[in-house]
Amino acid sequence: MATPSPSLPTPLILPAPTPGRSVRPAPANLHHLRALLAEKFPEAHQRRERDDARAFPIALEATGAERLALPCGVMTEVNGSHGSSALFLERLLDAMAEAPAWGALVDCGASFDPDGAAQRLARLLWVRCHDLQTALKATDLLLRDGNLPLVVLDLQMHPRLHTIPSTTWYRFARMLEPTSTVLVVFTAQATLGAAAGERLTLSSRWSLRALRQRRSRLRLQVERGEAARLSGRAAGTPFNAMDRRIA
Amino acid sequence: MLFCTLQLPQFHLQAALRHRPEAWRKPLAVVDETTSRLVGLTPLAAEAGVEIGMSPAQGAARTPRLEILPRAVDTEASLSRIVLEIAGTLSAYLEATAPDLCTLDLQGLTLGDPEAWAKNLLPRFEAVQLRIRAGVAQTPDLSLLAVHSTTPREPVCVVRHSRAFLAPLPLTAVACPETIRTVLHDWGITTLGGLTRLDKDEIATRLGPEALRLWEQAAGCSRRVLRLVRPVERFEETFDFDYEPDTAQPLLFLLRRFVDQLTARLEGVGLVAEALLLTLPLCDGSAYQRRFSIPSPTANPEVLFRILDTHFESLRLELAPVGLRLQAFPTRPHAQQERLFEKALRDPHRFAETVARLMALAGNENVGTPRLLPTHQPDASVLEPPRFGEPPPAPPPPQEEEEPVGLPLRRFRPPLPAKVELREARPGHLACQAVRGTIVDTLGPYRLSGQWWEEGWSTEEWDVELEGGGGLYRLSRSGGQWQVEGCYER
Repeated sequence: MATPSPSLPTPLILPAPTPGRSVRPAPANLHHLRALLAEKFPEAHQRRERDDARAFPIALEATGAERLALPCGVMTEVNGSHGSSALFLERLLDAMAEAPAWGALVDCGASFDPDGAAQRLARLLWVRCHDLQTALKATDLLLRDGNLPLVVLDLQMHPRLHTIPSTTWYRFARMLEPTSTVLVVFTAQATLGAAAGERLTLSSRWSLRALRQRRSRLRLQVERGEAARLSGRAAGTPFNAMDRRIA
Repeated sequence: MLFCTLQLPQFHLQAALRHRPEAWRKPLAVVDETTSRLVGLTPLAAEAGVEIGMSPAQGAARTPRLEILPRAVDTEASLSRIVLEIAGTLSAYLEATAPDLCTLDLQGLTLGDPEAWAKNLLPRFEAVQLRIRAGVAQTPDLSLLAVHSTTPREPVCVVRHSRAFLAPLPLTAVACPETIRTVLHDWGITTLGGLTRLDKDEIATRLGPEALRLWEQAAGCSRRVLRLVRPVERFEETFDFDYEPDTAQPLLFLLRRFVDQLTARLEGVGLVAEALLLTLPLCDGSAYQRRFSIPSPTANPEVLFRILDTHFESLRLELAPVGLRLQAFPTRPHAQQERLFEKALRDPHRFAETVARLMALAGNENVGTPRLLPTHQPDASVLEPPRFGEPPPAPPPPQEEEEPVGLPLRRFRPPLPAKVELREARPGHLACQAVRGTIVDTLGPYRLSGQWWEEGWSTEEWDVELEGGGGLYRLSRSGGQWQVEGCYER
C-alpha cells in the first residue's frame, strides 16, 4: 500500500481514473485522501494526548484521600443508579468548591436538590431544563463559552435518550477537544457510544440503611466501562486511583 | 489667581441634536414651547435669514425647508451635568454659573501656558460629543466676558491684560442698569474703556454704588466669591422618539451612541460601569426596565453594548417604546486579587452573555445560582443571578450536627400524586404514575411545619424502600394527600 511522500507536493484533487488503467483499491484511496487532508489542514489532524495532569479530581469518599481524576477536554459518561449519580454529583460540587472553580449543572428534569449542599452552591450555575432539546442547547452554549472548567449534563431522569442523534455527542466531543473543560454526562444507560472519552459505571446499590449514614461516609464504587477499555484499561475493573492520584 | 469659564455655545441646539449629529447640516431651529420663540439655529438656518427670537411661523416664512424641534429639557440638564462632571476632574472649586456656563477656580493648579491648557480641554469635551468654549482670566466676571468674546474659530480666550481686553468692549457687555447706561450714553461713553477713564470716586458720588460696581467691572478689579457646587455623578443618556419604532434596530443604533458617550464620560473621570439600567418608556405611560449587572466592571463600550445587544435579541414588548434611557452606575476599577489557586473565569463578560442566552433559552426563572431560603420547608430555594465579582462566602467550619445524612434526593418537580395504603399506621403499598410496589421498610415519620404566623404549612415525610430492589423514595403527606417527592435510588 503506497502512501505519498510528505516531501512531495501532492494534488488536492485525486486524478480521475483513465480507461484501461486499474482503479486504485478503495483503502488506498481513502488513505491517500486522509494524507492529503492532513497535509492541507494539519491543525485539524493533530492527535491530542490526554493530559492527566490537567484532570479534574473528585473524591470517591468525602473524608477519604482516594480521588478519581476526570480528564479535561473529553466527555465522561457516568451510568448508574439514581442514588449513586446524585452522590457523584455532590462529590463534583465538593471538588468545585475545593478548587475553587465555577461549574454549571444542566439539569434535564430539574431533579437536583440543593438542600444539603448550601456551602457549595456559590459558584454553581444551575440551568433547569424541562425538555431534552433545551438541555442539549444549553450544554452547547456552555461548551462554546469555554469559561467553565466543569459542565455537568444530567440526563439521569430522562427515559428517551436514544432519540438523541449520535452526531450531537460527537459535536460535543469535538468542541471539548481544544478546551480544558470537563463535561460529565449522567445517563441511566450507556448512550454516548464512542464519543465518550471516559465511561464510568457507578456500581453501588443502596438500601434504606444508607439514609441513616453520614453522607460523607458513603463511598462510591466506580468501575471503568467500555470507553476506558478502548483506551487501554480493562473494563469492569474497580477504579484504582494509584496512577492518577492528585494529592 | 486664575478662573476659567466654560460655555456650551448654542446650548439648546446642542441638547436637541445630541443624538442626531447629522442634523447640524440641515436648516433647523429649536423652539421654546413655553414662549413659542426660536432659541437655537443651525448655521444653515441662520444663513437662510432665520433669527433667534423669531416665532416658528416667522422662521418657516424665511425658509420652507426649516425643520423645527422642541427643546430637549432632559438632555439640557444632562449636558449641564456632563460639563460639571468633566470640570470636576479639573478643579474641586466649581460654580454652576448658568445651565450653559460653568466657572472653575484654577488656584493651585499647575497650568503652564493657560492658553495651551485651555485648548487641551476641548478634545475631552469633543470625546463626549460636546462643543465647548473657554475663557481664562484673573476674576470670575472677567473670565465670563472672555468666554463671551470667543468665536467658533477661536474657541479659547485668555485675558493677559485686563484693561486692554476690557477697554474696547461695549457697555452692554456687562450688566448695566438702564438708567446709568442712559446717563453714560449722554456723556458720550459707550465702551468700558471710556468709563474707566473717568474718576472712580466721582462716578460713585454722582451715580451711586451700582455705578461704582460697574466701574470696577469695567476696570477688571471686581471680585466675587464662587457659589461652589459638587458635580452629581449621574451617568445617563436619554432620547425621546418622534415616532414609535417597531423594530429593535433604531434602539440599538441609539444605544450604541449612548454606550460610547457613557464610557467616554466614565473614562474621563477614571471610573468604570458596574451596572446598566435600561428604561424604555412605553406609549401607554408605563415603562420597561431592566438592570444589567456587569460581571467585571468595565468601561469597554464593546462589552457593554454586547450585553444590551444580547438582551434585545429576545426582547418582545407588547407596546411600542416612545423613548430610550440608559444609565450607567459607576464604580472604581476592580483591583481585587484572586486567591492563588482560584480558577477565575477567563472572560467574565462572555460568560455573562452566555448566562443571558441561557436565560433566553430556558427562562429567567430557571437559570442562576441556587440559594437556600432560611426555612425548614422542603425544596425552598431560589435562583439568583450569578455574582461574578464577589468572592464566594467562606465555608463555615464543619460541624457534626450540620453534616447531611443519607443519600442526596433526586426531586420530582412537581411531586407526583400517589396512593398509599397504610399498614399499622405506616406506608405499606405505594402506587403512582411512575412507580408501584409494596413497601418493605420505612423511616419516619418526619413531621415538619412552619410559618404558623402566616398561612402556615405542615407536612409529614417518610422514606420508604420498595420490595425487590424497587428503589428508595421520599413520600410526603400534606392535608391528607400523599405525594412522591423524589427518589434516592432506583
